[in-house]
Amino acid sequence: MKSPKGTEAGANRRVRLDIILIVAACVAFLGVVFIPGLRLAKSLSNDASALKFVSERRSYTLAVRNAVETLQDRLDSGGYVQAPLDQLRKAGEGLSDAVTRMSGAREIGVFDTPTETTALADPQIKASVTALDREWSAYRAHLAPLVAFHGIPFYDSESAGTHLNPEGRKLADATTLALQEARQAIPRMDADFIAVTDALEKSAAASTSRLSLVMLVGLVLAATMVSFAIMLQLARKKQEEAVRDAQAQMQRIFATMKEGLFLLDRDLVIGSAYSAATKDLFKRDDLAGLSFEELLKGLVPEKTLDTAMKFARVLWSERTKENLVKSINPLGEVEVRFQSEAGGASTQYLEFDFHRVRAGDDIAYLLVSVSDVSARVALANELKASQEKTQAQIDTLLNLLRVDPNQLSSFLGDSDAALQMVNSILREPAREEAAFRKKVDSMFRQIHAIKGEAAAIGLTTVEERAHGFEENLRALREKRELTGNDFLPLIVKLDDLFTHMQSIRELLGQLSRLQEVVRNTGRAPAAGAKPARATKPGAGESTIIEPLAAGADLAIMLKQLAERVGLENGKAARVEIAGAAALPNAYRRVVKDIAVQAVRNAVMHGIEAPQARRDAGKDPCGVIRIEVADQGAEGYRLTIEDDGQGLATEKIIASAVQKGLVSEAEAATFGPKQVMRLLFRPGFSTYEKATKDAGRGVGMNLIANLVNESGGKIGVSTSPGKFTRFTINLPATSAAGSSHEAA
Amino acid sequence: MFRESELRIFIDGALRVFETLTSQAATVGSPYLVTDGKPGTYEYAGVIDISGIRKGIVYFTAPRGMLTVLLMRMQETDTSEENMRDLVGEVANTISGNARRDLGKGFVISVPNVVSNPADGVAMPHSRSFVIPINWRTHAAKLVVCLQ
Repeated sequence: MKSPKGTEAGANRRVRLDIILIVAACVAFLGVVFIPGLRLAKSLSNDASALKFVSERRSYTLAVRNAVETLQDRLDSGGYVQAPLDQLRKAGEGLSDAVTRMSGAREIGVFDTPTETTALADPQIKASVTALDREWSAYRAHLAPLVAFHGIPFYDSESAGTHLNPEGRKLADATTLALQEARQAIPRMDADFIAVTDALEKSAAASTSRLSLVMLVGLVLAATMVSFAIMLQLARKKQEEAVRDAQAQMQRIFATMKEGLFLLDRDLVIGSAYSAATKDLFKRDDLAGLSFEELLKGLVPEKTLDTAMKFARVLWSERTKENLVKSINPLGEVEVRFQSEAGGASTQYLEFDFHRVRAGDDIAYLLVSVSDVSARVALANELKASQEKTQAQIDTLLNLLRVDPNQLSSFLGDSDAALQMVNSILREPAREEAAFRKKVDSMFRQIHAIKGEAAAIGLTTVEERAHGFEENLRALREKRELTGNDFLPLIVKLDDLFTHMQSIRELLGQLSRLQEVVRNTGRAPAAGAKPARATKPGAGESTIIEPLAAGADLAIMLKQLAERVGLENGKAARVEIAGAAALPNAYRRVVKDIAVQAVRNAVMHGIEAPQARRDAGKDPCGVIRIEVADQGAEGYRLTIEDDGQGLATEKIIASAVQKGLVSEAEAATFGPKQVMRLLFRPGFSTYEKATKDAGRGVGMNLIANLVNESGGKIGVSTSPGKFTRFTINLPATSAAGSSHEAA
Repeated sequence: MFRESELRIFIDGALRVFETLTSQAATVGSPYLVTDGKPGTYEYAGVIDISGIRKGIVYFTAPRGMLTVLLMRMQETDTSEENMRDLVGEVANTISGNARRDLGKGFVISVPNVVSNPADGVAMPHSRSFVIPINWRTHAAKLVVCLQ
């Protein structure tokens, strides 16, 4: 876009040039045509007046001569002399007056009023006038006796008739003399008059000639000026059309462009021209004359507004490098919030860009362009979220590939039931402290079971989430007062667990489909093999596996759990399991949950560290034996035994007292059975610090609850340094299933 | 993942209305999830649409009995349908205002729309919702948050 300031400066220069040309033409016209013309016209007028004056007075010389001759005749004939004398006097006076006025002619100023004789001041004419004056003065002296005569020059007598009297004779003599002189003087004066009139005529002719020239020059000048004016007008019209065209183009650009575009002056006020999109972007029409601060107020936070104003002011400073300062533009990508009149609110992301507009060397404006980058930001956010989701899926997938698919399938079913149970517990209306506290305990058992099983099968992504949930529950347990507010983090975590489980199911589905493709394109399926559900990588290769025999998945899971917990705690342990196949379906979940907790407890609390075992003469790898025995009508007996350090009653009592479960005095009265019961109390643990595998006093309590809910019984026997054995008797399935399912 | 802080913004808005209108605080009951897309409504519900970086709805729903007592507590004897709707709208409006003020970047929050006796409940954009019971005196209302 061309700088408006530059266009304006160019237009100003052109206007100034036009004015100079017009003034110059006027001065030239005045100097060359008007003033000389005026002077010539005045001179011409003066010449004409003088010519007329002189021509009229010239007849006086003839009148004087005639009067003298007539007087001569009358004197000779004794006629009446008074008439020629009067004629002489009148002509003489007229001539005297004319000569006097002609002699008195002088040059006048520009602004003086000219007289009839002004033109006679010309030096060339002046000489003739002087000569005339001299001639007349000389001749007038001869006329003086004639003019001075009064009376009658005759005397009459009847006898002698009419004769000149003495005065008459004097008059006649003077007349004769005057007539003689007239023959010389009058032609000279006539010649003087002619010289004057000739000079005047020449002067008039010269003036006329010059005036004609001036008029011609004036005509040429006038024609030039008219031509110039026409050219100027045409040029102006063309220029105006170009400006109008440029303005129309600019308007079309302003109306079409999607970006907001406007100028800010030094006071950071918006100019009158801006793109139509600017109004749409800022949802207001009153932009012209609006301050930039007012425009942004309410749309961006106060702090951003403050920084933006400082930034815009800095751009006006010549010392600031434009490109350098642009990198700290606080409005580079800014979130703006619009409140609608109806009360709603919306958010957009705008990108402001600032450019200096110069007029010559000075900064004239800041050109601000504004773009709506909401779509770009949303896309970037979506991309980021998608990347994070993909990464999380890859992590989960990698995690899943390490998990036995049979165990995973079983785990998903169980954990979903457990999560639904947690939600059911939450859903129970509660207003009182006791009701909330009961919920915490109930949820603890469910989440702990999920965590235990997830750990057992190596599904760390679920284990970590369950652990986080458990941490929240633990904090609630220790809280003095509980309200629904305290449960908000739980539902957020529960939501996350549900979502995560769902994504695992989706990934399993994808894996299954992938496996199907592999089966169809690659290997021939084993005879009689059922469709497999997932791949299990081992030593860097994937193999298609088949469903395990009943109880085998439990054995694998427990062995993995023992290995993992042992590895993480610097111990070695293996699980030996027998009779798991005898378990009815109704007890599979219960036994699994019990065994998971018991194995973890055994590794954490029972099995010693390898060196301690060596010192005690044992195999460095501890053994946990699990045995399920079908006792017919008596139900099932589950035995879990480890060859670890056994249970120390003193340590159990000390921990229970320290955790406030019993008083010291109370504990002193306990027999061995009561001490063992402490193991199953909620919150009991001999660990000082809770880890994800021990220390919360949940595991044994969960076992006790599961056994109780199944209608079974639990017994503990131990020998310090040798073993700990839990014997769990579960009733026959017809008596137990409903109780557990309801839990 | 949905953030607890976002949930609290909606809850604080609802609690503030009770505190302001009645000078008697409401409490939060045990929150839970609804996964079948039917969190349920009472007779009146004020619904706010949310769009932007999260999309979905938030609604406050209360039974006629609770609203009647609320109106009486506010010295309002006119318990007409219109007043009931206005009251639910007021709660939803405060929740909306709180959200507009505190939710921050990327949220677009609508003005509330009040529905009464919705035959099929409120149309939910997703199957899973957070339900937060709001207990006031012996009455119970609930706040349902269903966002992506």
